[in-house]
Amino acid sequence: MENRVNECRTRLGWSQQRLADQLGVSRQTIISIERGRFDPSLPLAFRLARIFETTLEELFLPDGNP
Amino acid sequence: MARQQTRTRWGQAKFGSGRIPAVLIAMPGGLLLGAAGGWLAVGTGLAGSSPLLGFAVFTACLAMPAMALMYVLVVDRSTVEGAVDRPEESVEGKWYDKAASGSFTDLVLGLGVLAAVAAFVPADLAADLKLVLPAILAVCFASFGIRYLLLRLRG
Repeated sequence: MENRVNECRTRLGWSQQRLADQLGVSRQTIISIERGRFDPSLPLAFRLARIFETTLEELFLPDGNP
Repeated sequence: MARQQTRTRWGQAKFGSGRIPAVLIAMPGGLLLGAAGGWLAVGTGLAGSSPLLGFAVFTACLAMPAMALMYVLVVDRSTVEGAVDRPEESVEGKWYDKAASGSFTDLVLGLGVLAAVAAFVPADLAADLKLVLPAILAVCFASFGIRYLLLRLRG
């Protein structure tokens, strides 16, 4: 699944480690999410959306639907 | 207000109403368990003709895994430096699950094939369980380890 996590994180000026610490997950998890290789669980996706003050629909895009 | 949790490299364990370094429980506890194994080996005659040497060898071999087991049982992971708060939501958790399910499939397939082959082996060719079981365990470790490493390399 495509996502805008990298874009949102960069906009905030946060490092991957800082975002990982905020979410309580490993930095590798953030790397994998940003590369589109790991789809986060629903609770984690909601926490991401809350941190970036956006919605799930705006943060995560189904494959082939930009 | 929540109490600030002190994190250390090897973590801490609950002891009474306070906390102490987990290794202070794990190391002597593991050594005791290892010594109990050594004593059992001597008592059952497994230690051979030299009980003292047998006791020392069995204790030395069992102490390290026993310490590791004790550590895993007593450590409070929220006090370990670098441990994430939600490991189940981290990508490493997904790798672990995939590697574990894959190695289970390997185990079932491997044992199935071995069982079929064993059916054609003459009855007098018996395998020593003391060798077979550790070998199966080693195969499981190898299968899991390789799968986990591959998943990690793919990111």
